Amino acid sequence: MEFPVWFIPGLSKGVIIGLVSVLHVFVAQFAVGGGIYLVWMEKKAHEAENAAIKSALLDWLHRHTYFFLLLTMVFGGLSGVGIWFTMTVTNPSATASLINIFLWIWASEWVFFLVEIVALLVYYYTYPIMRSGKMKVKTHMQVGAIYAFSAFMSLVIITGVIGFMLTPGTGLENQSLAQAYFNPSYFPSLVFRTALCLMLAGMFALFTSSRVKMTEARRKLMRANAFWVLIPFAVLLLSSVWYFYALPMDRQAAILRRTADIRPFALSYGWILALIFVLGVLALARAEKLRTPFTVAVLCSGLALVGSFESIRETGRRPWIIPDYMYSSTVRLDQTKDLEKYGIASHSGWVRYLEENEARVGSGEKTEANTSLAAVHARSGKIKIQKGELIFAQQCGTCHAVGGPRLNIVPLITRFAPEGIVAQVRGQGVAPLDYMPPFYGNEKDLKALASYLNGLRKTGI
Amino acid sequence: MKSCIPSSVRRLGLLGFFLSCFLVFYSPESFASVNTVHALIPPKLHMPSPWGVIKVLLLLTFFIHIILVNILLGSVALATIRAWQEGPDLSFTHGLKQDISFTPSVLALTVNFGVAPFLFAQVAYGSFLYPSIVFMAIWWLAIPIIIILGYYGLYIVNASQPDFYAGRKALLTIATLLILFVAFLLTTNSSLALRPEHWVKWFESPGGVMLNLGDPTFIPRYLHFIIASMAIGGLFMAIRASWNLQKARGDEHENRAKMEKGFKWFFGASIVQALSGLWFLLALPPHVRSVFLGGKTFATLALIFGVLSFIVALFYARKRRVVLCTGYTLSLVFIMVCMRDMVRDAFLAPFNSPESFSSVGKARAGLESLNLSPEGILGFTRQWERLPHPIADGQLTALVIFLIFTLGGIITLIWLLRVTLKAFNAERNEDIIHTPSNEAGEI
Repeated sequence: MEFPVWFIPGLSKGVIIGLVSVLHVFVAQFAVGGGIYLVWMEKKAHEAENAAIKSALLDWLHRHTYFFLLLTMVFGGLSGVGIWFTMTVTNPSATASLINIFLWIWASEWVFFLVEIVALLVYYYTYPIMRSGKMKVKTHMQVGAIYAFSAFMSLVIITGVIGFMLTPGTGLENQSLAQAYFNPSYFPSLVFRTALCLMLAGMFALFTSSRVKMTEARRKLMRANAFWVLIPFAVLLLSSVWYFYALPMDRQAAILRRTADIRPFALSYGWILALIFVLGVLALARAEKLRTPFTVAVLCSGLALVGSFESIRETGRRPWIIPDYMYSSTVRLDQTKDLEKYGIASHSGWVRYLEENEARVGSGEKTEANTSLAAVHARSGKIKIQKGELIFAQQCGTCHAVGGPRLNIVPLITRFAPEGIVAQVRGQGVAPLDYMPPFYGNEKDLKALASYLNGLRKTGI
Repeated sequence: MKSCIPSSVRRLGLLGFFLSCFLVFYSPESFASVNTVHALIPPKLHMPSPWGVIKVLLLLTFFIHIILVNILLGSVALATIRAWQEGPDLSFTHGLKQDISFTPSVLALTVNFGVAPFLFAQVAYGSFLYPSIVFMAIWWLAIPIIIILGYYGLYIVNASQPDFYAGRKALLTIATLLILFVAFLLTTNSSLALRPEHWVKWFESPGGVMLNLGDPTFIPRYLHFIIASMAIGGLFMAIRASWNLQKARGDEHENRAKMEKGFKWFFGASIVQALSGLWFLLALPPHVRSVFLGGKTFATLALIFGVLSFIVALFYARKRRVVLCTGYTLSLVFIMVCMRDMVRDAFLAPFNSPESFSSVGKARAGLESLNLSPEGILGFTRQWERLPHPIADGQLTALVIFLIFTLGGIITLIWLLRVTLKAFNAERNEDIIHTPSNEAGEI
């Protein structure tokens, strides 16, 4: 509300944040499960009785670690920065609030992120030394365990923040950080995500192990990896149910809503779960006979699962970005009275600037106000955004775009007459539009927004 | 001295000098009145912990970040210059690999140590930082993508075979340019955040592609950072060569040559750096510059100690004393990080205090002409105050937990370092860092 907005009419911020976050979560959760997997597999490999198999397994694990490092540390690490950057540009108000609330939680996660990076680099670069016998296997595995622990801790820490955005519980009400952090969905979410992480570790290991040349070693690996998919799968299934029932009734209703923004994800989540189970059983049964394309399909199903789950979680928050604190339109609850009584300009200097400049454009008198820089700016014709457009960008732009593939506003308004648009905006926040935040502003603000929307209707973008 | 400074650096220095003379007569343009600007700055949230705690952590983590950035950028830039200067023989290939083999790992740590100061800066300076990010949203979102590209570029250069000469040279050059571009974007952001008087330009360009090239402090700020990287890159080369000499690793002659070359780069770039620093100082608006010229005791002392550390570091560089030169350079960088912070606070001072906010009356007049009641401007009249913290209780406990984790983290890092050194010592004189030979085919 008080911040400037990144506004490109055809740009859907939801698509950008969805894309970045799904790709990041997919790789970052692999990084968490993969750490535990590396240590477990190294132990198994050292225990192998047949020397040839042991060597093949250790060789593969070295390559898998390199792949793991390149994917999780480079892409995973940078896409993590990417999701933070995306949050910042698409919704600075919410980002500012979350960071102020959870500063030390995020800072703690950063410490584990640092240890994670160093431990992974040491694990990989000392791997040949361990193989040559000049580093104790136990020490090398301890390094791996430090990596696994740090990566898991970063999940443990961040889960509280993500959970807060869906179920803030009594944290805000009681002003308690502990209650906000250990919110109602914390533990089910942690178990759910841990299972997902382990399953993704199995999926990625299936992918790289399908290229192992020695048949016996490949068979052993593929079977072990199939178990890494199937056992966490069972936990994932049960914790999904626990997670859902841990949500407050209104969030449950939001997830079961039959609207186009959430229904397809809820349905696909179920179908993908079934598909993963079938693929896991196939991997177990056919083991060494499976080729890379099959494992790519397994990975894609993992990505689809992460995508549908995250979309449900994100959309299930509507109309809030932080329930009972900030609407997805970035309006905070404490601002609503001011906005209705005095207009959006009372909290947004950006809207106020446009209002003042609109007033200045028409007047030709040589008063002090009219010769000010702002007045000159107003008459220069350089201003590329009008009040109605800015209000749209502020209060609607988090979800809607003008054009684009998702939640395009134009077809949604073309069915209304000009007065109908005003009625529609006024109806937001009450059933059946209760998944949308109410519009907050005075009559002049509403008029400006309606006028902008009417313009869109006429141009029919 | 002439023999110590590479000719390219000398030319750069002269250019910098003339540009700085030009800019002395050039003063920043103001785009909007303070009244308007105050209304545009979002209100501040109350911080979860005392200002001092956040500030100390911000400065410490940024110090480590900037040292890592300097090592990274300096090392890849020097390697690129070398790749263009020398021919494709095998000794060169081997030497080049040694010069950059550590850079992907340094990049990983650089990114990590960029996260922490950004986090603390968001809390301490959010009202200024977030808008500046939104103004350049598209560039901002490009930053992680560019880093990923540069990162993979460095990995490919490291993993490539000797016959990949031309490709490696091109890739290394591209990686260097990408890192330079990221630095350019981050400098843009830092400078945009300090200039609320330019923010009304957002109304002309709300699409997130704003840059800040018109700001007279921008070019010297960017150059100051790039040249520092060249100097530290040289020093790091000398440090590594001296370490290898001490441990009797590698070819002694080559190590001595590298140490010599590293110190020459450090010395030459530092001389140019002094000029760019002077330029930066002169380009600052008078109210910011005066802080360092007697306006504030602490800031003036920082400048004096900075200059002294600089002279002593150069003296030890001439003497080829690695440890002392590094020590004084680190203290110099830390002083510079503190001075950078003082520049920021001086820039933002007019927007942070009630005394400077003379516009309340005018703002009311403006609102009355729009038929809004005065209560409606509450959001603007409390610019220097902070909105209540959404969840104040439990923040101290969270801080203590963070500090405990940090302590545990440091102990773990020390253990990891010891384990690594022990392992690498056991492998002495063997080429132990290699990627598995059949990776590309297998994965």
